[in-house]
Amino acid sequence: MTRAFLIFMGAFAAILMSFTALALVPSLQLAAIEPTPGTTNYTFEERLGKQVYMREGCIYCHTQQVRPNGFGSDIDRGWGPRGSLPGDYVYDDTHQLGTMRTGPDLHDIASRQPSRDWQLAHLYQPRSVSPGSVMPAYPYLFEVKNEAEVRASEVTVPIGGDYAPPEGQVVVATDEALALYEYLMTLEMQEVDDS
Amino acid sequence: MPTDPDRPDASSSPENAPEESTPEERGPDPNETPEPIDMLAPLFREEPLRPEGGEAPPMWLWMTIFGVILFGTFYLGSYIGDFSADPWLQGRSIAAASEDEEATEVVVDGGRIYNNRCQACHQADGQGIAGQFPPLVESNWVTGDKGRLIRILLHGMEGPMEVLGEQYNGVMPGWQNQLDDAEIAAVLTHIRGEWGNSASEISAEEVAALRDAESGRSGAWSAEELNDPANQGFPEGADLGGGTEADTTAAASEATASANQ
Repeated sequence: MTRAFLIFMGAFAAILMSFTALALVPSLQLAAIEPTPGTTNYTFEERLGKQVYMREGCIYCHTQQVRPNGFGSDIDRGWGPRGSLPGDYVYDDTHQLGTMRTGPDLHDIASRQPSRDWQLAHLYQPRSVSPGSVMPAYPYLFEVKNEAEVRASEVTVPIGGDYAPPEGQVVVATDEALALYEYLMTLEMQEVDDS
Repeated sequence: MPTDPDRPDASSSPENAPEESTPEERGPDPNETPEPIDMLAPLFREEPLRPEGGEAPPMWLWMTIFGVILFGTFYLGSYIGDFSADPWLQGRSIAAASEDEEATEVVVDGGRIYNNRCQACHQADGQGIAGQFPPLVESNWVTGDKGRLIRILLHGMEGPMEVLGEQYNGVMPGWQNQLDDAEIAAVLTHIRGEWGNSASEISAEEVAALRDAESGRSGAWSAEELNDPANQGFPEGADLGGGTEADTTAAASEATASANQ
């Protein structure tokens, strides 16, 4: 170990360089980012829904980033009107950008698919509304109960076809499912000026 | 030659006999008397062993390394985007795209809008899902009165309704904030002409007229409201664009008649 000092300095330089390039410079660049006009902070329920989104691992199949024109076909697929901007994520303390796209991008899902009936039915059993879908079902975010026991405040989910509940029973969304829906409805890209 | 005690076979086998022949084997040269200096010749032939790690890399490697650094510098310089967090490339393409839009008329593809926003519920074949989402094929709600259909698209619809003899009770979201007049017109024209439907086209002017007339409305329509003739067709005196008016009124009155059956 006659060169211990040299090895130490080399390792230190390597760490310092990567820290500068990956942490310092980006944080300086992003320090002054303003939220995209129209984006709002999460409400309590939306934040709860985001927790469900994270817990169920939606990020493993769904991204939340639309690539701009010239960087792929995201906009042509209708995943958003524009590419994502840093200001879109200001309120995301734990961002859910994602890297894998087994399913479609969700950054603009609230604009594309605002129907609560559809979203809840799709979470309960994706195949019931989207034949051939490979998305897993999340029946534990719902309750199947007798029609007579449904309270007026509860949200029933219409499910038809092969996945319909037994006669006399209905599918009721739990608070978690409704919170997840509310979170999904925050995922809407706002128009921006060109300037 | 000394015998290697570890490798007795190597030294004893004839194949591994020493290659250089010794002076004793060659025998004395009768014509030449060796000078003492010649006996040191093997020593002068040897080059000193170079220390390891000091060799210069080959020239091609230098060229490659410098080439990569040069390319990287120019590439970074060209695309670093003023060192800003806003993707500079994107800003440029947005600006360029909007300029192009002003210059040329944009063709809106109703089929693509349908695939992106409607297909999830009403399905690719327009048949909907029994009991959940009503079909668009052969449905009078689609092929009938234009004003009624445009109102549904603008503000959405909820509550019990009957489509082709089946009962539905769902919520369709309105699209007035997500889609502009031309886009609503394109997607409605698409569903009125697809899957065997053959109703007339809907123009952006017609959508604009109803967007204006119903601008005060925020909630979704109910089937009961929409079956009221007051909420069908277009407001009187609305500018629906030239040429389509006669067609429109004819279709509207026909649809009203069938809807009120």
